[in-house]
Amino acid sequence: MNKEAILNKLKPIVAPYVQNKEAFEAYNMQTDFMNDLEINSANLVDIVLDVEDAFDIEIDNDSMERMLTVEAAVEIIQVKLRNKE
Amino acid sequence: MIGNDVIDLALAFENKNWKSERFRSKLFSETEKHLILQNKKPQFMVWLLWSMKEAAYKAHQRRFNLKRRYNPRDFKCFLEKTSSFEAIGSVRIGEAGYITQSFFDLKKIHSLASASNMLKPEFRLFEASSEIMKSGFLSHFSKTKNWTNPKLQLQKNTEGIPYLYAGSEALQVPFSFSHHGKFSGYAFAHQPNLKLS
Repeated sequence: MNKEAILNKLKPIVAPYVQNKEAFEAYNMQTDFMNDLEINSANLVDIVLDVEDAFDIEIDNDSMERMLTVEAAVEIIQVKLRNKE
Repeated sequence: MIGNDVIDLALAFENKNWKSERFRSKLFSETEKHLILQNKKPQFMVWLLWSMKEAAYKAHQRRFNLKRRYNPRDFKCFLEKTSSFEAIGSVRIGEAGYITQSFFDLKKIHSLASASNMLKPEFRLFEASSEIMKSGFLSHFSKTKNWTNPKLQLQKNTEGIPYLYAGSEALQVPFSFSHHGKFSGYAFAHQPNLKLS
């Protein structure tokens, strides 16, 4: 799966937790979950769980630690998908 | 250094994920999971421990000027004394430790964490927006320090951490903001001999 496809598949997963809808319209690789989308830190773990289900991967703690931006999430997902093959 | 965290329980309780072991394992240690499952109100305990971790995270991040990380499991909670409205405890991360105080009722939890018990936290909780809470902080802070001039202003740095400025100078004041659902809170350390940096 290429980065573009992961980026698009991630968008609806993130959507329910977004507080700043305006910032979400500009959703791209540089988007920051907390600083831009104002997602509550308590909801980041919900996103991690939803990502695990949607992509059928496991996000370990070291990866979760870095999942603060869309770009980091996309890269982590891509590596996990590759390792699965 | 100081941190605080507010939980709107009505909003937090909408989240049913806490029932899954997978969710709990991403946030909590074995000891903490045990505390949750043994409690008569397990869902409340999830959010009490979470708010302690968040408050300690904020204090820790500012104390050591750290990059942001999402590592709640590294923050280990210890509860020393709990009553029907308050919980006293501590949070440890690596070599560092934070003393915590949490105040709660059926609607909300407000947790405070400080790097040492020499820092006496001043704090308030509002059923109001962040903007109202922040202006409450500025007036409370000014009053505590008998501050008149120069005018106090808040600005965020690139890590998203707010700093307090008097005119163009950043004040070395440990403080922390939090907002969740209908509630907002702040905490700051009472330092009697504050000077401009």
